[in-house]
Amino acid sequence: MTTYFTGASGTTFRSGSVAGTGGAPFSTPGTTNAQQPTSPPPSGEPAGPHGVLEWLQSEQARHYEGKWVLLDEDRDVVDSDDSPGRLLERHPQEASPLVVLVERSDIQLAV
Amino acid sequence: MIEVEMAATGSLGVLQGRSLRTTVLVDSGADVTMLDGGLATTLGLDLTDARYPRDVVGGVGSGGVPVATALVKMSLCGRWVDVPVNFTLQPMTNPPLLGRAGAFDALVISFLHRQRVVLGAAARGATRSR
Repeated sequence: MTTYFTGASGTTFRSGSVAGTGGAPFSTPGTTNAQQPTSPPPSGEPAGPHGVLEWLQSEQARHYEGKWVLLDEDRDVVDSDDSPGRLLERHPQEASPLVVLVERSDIQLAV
Repeated sequence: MIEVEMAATGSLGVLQGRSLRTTVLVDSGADVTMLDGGLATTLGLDLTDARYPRDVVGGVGSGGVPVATALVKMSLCGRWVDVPVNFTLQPMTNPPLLGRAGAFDALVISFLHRQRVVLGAAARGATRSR
């Protein structure tokens, strides 16, 4: 079996072959505690590295929606990519890289 | 089977650990994605932490499997979406499974059985419940 997964543009970006079919369907009480990263964390959780919340709320951050961004200690953008793996491969010298995913703003919240 | 990249994030979407790529079986019969617990370490997740609830899950033709559940980011059809993952606490004997929770909420998936093809596309403006 061939698997084609396409992005929003309709271009194929994944392909592969199936080694088997089916698989045991597992059942769990699945719960999703999704949160908007740009929202302040709930009380009791760490607020994240200093200055990150402010940067995420900045106009500059909106230019990187959907991307992973490498920030320096001054919270300036060093680099960005769709893939955190590729991003870190380009900066192997970073001992403690600060990489943030900028959430897309077109996510609709169903109340 | 599809290849996906995944990553764990902490507060504010800050990357923990490293991202990783793995091949998963798209399984519409699975409620929740299931991966080998060994991958969690690479992602920077400490499954012994109480924030990751433990459970024992069962599947057709299998006994109970102890798991710890964590929310990870997964790149699906060009979008990073939150996907709850059951990480097995013992070596996984089944192939990694991409289950419905989180993943199928964000995608439009078509199984073209006769052509033996799976098509997937990101749903525009994925809906998230709270």
